[in-house]
Amino acid sequence: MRFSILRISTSVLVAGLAMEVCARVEDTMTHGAPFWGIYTQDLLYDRPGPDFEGVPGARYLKWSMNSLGYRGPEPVAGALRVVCIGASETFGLSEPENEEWPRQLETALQVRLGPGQPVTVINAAYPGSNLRTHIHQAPRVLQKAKPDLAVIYTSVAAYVDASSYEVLKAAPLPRIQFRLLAKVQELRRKVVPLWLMTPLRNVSVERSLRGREDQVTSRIKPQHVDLFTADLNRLLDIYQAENVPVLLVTHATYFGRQARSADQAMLTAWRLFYPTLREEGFVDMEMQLNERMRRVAAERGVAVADAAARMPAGAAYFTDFVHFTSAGAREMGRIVATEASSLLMKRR
Amino acid sequence: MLFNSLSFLLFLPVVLALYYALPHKAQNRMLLAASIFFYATWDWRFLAPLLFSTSIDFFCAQRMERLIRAGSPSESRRQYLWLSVVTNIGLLGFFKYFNFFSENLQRLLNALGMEVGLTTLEVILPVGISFYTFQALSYTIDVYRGELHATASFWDFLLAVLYFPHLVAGPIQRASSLLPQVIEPRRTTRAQVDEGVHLIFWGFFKKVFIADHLSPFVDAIFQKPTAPGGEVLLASLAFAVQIYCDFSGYTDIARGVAKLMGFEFVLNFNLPYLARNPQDFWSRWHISLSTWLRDYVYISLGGNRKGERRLYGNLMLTMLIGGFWHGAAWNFLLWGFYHGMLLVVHRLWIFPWEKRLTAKPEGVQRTIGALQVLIMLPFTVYGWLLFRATSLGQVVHFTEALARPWEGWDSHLAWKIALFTAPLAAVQLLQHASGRLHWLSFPWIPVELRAAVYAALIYAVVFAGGQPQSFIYFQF
Repeated sequence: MRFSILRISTSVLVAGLAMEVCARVEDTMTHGAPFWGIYTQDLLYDRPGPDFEGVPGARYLKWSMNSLGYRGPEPVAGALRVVCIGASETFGLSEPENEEWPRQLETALQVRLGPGQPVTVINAAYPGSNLRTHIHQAPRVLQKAKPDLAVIYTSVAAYVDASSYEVLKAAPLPRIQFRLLAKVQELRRKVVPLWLMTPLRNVSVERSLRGREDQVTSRIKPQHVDLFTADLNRLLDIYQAENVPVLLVTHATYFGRQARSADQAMLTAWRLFYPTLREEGFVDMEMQLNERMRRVAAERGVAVADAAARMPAGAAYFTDFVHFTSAGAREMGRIVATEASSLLMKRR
Repeated sequence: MLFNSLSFLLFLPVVLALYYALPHKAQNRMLLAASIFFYATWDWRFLAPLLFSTSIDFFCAQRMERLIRAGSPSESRRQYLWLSVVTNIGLLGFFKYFNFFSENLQRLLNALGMEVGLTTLEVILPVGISFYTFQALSYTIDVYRGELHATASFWDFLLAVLYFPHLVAGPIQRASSLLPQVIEPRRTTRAQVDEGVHLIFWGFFKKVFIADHLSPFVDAIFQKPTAPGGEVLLASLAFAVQIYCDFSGYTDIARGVAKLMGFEFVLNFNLPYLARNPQDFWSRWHISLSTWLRDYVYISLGGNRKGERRLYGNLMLTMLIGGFWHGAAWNFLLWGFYHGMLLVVHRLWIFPWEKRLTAKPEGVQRTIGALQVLIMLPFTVYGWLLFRATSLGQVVHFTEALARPWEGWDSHLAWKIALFTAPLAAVQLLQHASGRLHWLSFPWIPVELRAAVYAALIYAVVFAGGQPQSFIYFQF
């Protein structure tokens, strides 16, 4: 009996190790990942202080950084330079390589400006960024990208509560990594149906709220809206001080102007990241902060591309609450290009 | 419900759990309900033709059995055989071939200067109709021939036809083999579980990891009306591997699932690309169809009993029917004709020479055998080009292009195809050398090594599979 238990345990262990080896072989063969060592998204950027700094030439899965440490190809010399500042929606998560919206913007701009005026779009976004990180990043962006136009498409959900707009501290890289676990998580996202995921997510939300149930709200606090306004003004100050024209892009979501009852599961998925805001508060928060963005832009004479109003809602354009599909990224590129091209023409 | 879907992965454990918990009669009722549910997940309306033809077959077999018991001559039961054949072939013809004949007749009449507009119907082909039609026909023909007793239980017969592992893409289970297993109580042995699990894992690996990865390369090239020779060669080779892994993968899963419930299905593939000649190929490829055609078409036509000329005619006709069974399109007929020609040529000129080989020493026989495999393989692969082609024009263009295989050769694509083919080739050589199709059943293989191999297969299927595709043979 003891022998068979030992053999079963050994077999399970060997099977687990075999799967881990397979995961590493697959990463090596499909993405050129190192067989040994750590392989995570953190290879793409360092977080030396309160912001991100991309690692030049780094690669992770489909993502690759150029020599400036930004996602995408090398900027074209002698071309008009547009820099896109934002978070994961701009960095690009679900779209295939070279289909994230800054790349689609480049294509759309090139069509509008014509072949005689080359234009290059630099994607200076990093996942997890918010207005605070953009502020810290701005001097480096100005120095490295030397933009003729800055397009700011900031994530607004960081202003849900006091903790979420705190700049994230870099977690140290793990010493041991089981790559199989990442594959299992990815598979779970793809395979587990929404009707099963939603109750599980609700449990996670409940658990993360333990001890701070009193902070739960259906509407973000006015002082957080003011904080967003102040941060936005600070960011605009930096770019305007360097005479770089700015195009502010309002934040578009899967839900459009109003969430439907069928969107409840998607709202719960979003709430997982910001548990203190109830599901019904997200669309309201987006509307409030987008409205504040429009007002700031009007006060300061900054151009606005109103993606929140013009971007179609739904699953054809969004893979989740805020991240784009290829079609969504194309539409986003087109919307931004309409305003950006006229600013660039003035600049020319 | 596809075998390679999440719903099947939920469905199967439930069925197995219920199966092991129930006594024999209840097992059969539960399996019948599960099979009806399985089939209805495609379209519940497909059940109507299936239940209709099955009822007719049951009725005809009952009547023939009564006549046999009464000692009546075979002529008296022929009417029931005809009723069954006409019902089954009629339904198959209506659903599968009506539009083909209508369209081609219209083209012919138009070419002769007669402007006619014949009707085509918007009919959906019921999944697996070609398979269950042949399965049901084998029952009535065997009862007619007196080789099988008709069952008294309609539900047992219905289960034998509807049993979900073989229902939609075979292997074509003859009633003489499956019905006794339905009727008699079954006991799943440990060897069956071991082999069943092995077949399921290996079947999924072939389908999801090999066939589904090769499918995009093949589709991309066969979507073009013309392509350079190098691309055509690579696409044909890739399709040869894809169709084998797709179909034999399905069969393996079906056989494995059946074994877990104590059923034994016939072997459907036996290393077909190691065939030495066309006759050998057809004894290794889709064995349940080729033996069905042999027993119910070729032998019924007279086989080799009516002289040389009739023999070749019978071979050609049987292969044409086999080709047409696959689908209502000219390329399937061409593929059947091509294989018929290969069989005739082999029979005429090569068979006598092969007979003389048996007197040679074993080493010589083996060397010549290996050479024969290498010669036969390109003929088989070219057959797959005919099978996969989307039009007769493409067959002509692609055949011409094959004469210049160096044009448009893509080494990167060749390496990719080789990468996905390598595990299959390695396992098949092991199977051939050891004479064991269950290639992990060697007693000297420790359980830990088996666990590692199965883990690697599971990883490839779950995490590294290609874009999920339907099984190719579902369309037939």
